[in-house]
Amino acid sequence: MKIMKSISPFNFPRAWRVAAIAAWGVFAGPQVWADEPHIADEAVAKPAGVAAVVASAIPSAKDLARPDWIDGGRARFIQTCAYCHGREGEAGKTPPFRSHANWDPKDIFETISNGRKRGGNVMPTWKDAIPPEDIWKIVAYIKFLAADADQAAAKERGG
Amino acid sequence: MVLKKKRMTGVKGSLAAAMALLCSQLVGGAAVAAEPVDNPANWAEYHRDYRGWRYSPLQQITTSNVKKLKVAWIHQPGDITQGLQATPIILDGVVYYIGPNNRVFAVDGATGKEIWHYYTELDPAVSTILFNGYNRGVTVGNGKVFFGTLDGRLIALDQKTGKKVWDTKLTDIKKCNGCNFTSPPVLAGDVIIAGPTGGDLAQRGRLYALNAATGEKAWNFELIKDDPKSWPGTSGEHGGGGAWLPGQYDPKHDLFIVGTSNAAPDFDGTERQGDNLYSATVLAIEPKTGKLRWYHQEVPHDVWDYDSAYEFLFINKDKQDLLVHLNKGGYVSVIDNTSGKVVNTWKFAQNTNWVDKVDAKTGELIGRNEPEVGKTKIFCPSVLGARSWNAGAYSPKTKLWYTNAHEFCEQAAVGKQDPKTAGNGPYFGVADFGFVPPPGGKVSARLEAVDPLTGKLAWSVDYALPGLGGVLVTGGDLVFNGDSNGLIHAYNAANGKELWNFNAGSGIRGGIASYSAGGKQYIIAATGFGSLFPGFASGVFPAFKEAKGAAALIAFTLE
Repeated sequence: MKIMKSISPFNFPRAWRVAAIAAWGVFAGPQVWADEPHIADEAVAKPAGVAAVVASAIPSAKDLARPDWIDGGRARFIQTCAYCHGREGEAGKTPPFRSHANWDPKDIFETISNGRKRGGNVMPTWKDAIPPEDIWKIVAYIKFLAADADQAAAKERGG
Repeated sequence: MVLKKKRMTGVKGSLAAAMALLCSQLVGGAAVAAEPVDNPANWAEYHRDYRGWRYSPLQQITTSNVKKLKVAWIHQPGDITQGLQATPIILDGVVYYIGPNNRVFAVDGATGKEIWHYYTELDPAVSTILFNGYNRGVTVGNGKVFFGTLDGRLIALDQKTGKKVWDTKLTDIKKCNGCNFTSPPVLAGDVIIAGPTGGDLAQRGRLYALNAATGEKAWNFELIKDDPKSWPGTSGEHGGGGAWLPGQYDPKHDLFIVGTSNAAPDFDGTERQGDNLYSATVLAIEPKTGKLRWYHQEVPHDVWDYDSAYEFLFINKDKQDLLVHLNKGGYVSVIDNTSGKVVNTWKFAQNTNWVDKVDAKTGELIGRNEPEVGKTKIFCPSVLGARSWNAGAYSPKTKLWYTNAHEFCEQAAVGKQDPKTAGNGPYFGVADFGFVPPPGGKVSARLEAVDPLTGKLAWSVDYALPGLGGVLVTGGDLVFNGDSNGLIHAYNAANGKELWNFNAGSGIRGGIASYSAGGKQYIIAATGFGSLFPGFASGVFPAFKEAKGAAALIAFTLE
């Protein structure tokens, strides 16, 4: 993450950040998940207007698979998220995280950042409380949980 | 369904005695209390009256005719965020209640026709709140309808018109996490008292008292005692200590009785060595001045999230004024209401391991089993208690307390957490946390009828999921309890036999009350999930995953 750190808009003051992310997106070009198809999970809300901004700032699949990111994300997840979602995303009012295949990291990032209202449920917005780089680590942990499900499913298929 | 008949006291023919008892207990309060609490037609306070009984003396609906109970009307608040968690207030045939996102209504109790509504304009910053969307009720008195808001205000409406009389901002939710209000404020003579939600957040809790007529500030009571022996260093600055349930005003002793929430960080006591007063404490405060008359700390230096927030039963036994109080740690204390001294304790939860025992005569915790750094341990009950905040009901006829209960535990290890980065999230101080079944056992839930002074069980009914609604017991010897699948049950108060039920279509998190309008008795239920609990507990009760959101106030009467 050295390069990302040096030019990342996350290092800018909050007021600049949106504009900076947009500009950085143009400069650095969109990073595409080459190893996963972009199948949006219906269960994840997409706040309008935010998707394009964040999409250009997403870390690479390699970064999201880094053990230190996953460990950091797990620690924060247990502190902040486990009360509602369980230690490994097994609780909450959503399907267990391990059952999510092909979960798009930027959708997870957006949901954590902007919260979600659906039916009687409401999840708070976290973008004012958790810095984006830490939200991405939580995403890495959630993807780590979901990836297990992917592998298990692949094994079942004989893959 | 399992029925256990271990003990039953005589219940027949005791109505006259019960009414005499009721009247005798109210005489002292009638002059001070703002509302005619002795009018059987009304449900004037959160628990009907200050005694926390949730007992309606009405007896038109009986064990013989309850089968003919039918829906009279339904009122929907038009927003289902976190369901309907309030207990309605009913005065002179008008139902007052609060729905999601601080929508307040006055509804005709005979027809369900809306008389007025008030939709609170909320600060957009409420999107950041952890304990969000819901509210447990309004308070009605002195010609006004009072409620606390998600964005840190107390508002008074005109009882007749629903127009705003005053609006006082008490906290800044952008700066103070967990400083929103989710429970009805309590009217104590001329002051109205409210406490904020956040025992689990990095904040410093206090009670706020306002002049009920004007909304001007009367006094604050600091729930984090300014004493380095209680809170060393800066630990008190983020020590938690909210008061998220309403408390009760006892006009007989002119006392505001309230239980406070846990100390924070919930599981990590290393930076807050000391008793951490006044967290996990029962407080008796003089409402005119805010002066503390007595206190009893149930869990000194709490490291398990065992709030003292739940309701108090006021019971007069052998001329002694007693308070019966369930702590989240699963023990019930019986406390002298004039001194704060413990006269008895009994174990309510079937599974407890955080102490060897609680001394019956002093309330002292003996043999503490505390969470540790670097080692995951199992604690029973969990942070969700042996029951949630939904109050039980007490009948002066049967002398039994009817309450929901559940059995499950948690695994936890202490982890350092920086209060500065905890933000609007929980400040638990954990490195490991999750709900688990009791060691060697299974998760379970029940409604039980028990002697509140001794813990002697009369009967119990097993439930598939923890019951999360407030219980009602009536002069017609009926116990009403709504379950988490949406069924509202009526039981014979004497033996637990089910006599009637109705499927409301979504779980019950609010209270069930009873009132009379136009000569007819009504049973009214706040229905619809709602609530964070089903999500928390869905790891150990997977059926909670199927909980559907809804919000509907349903009134029943005889055909």
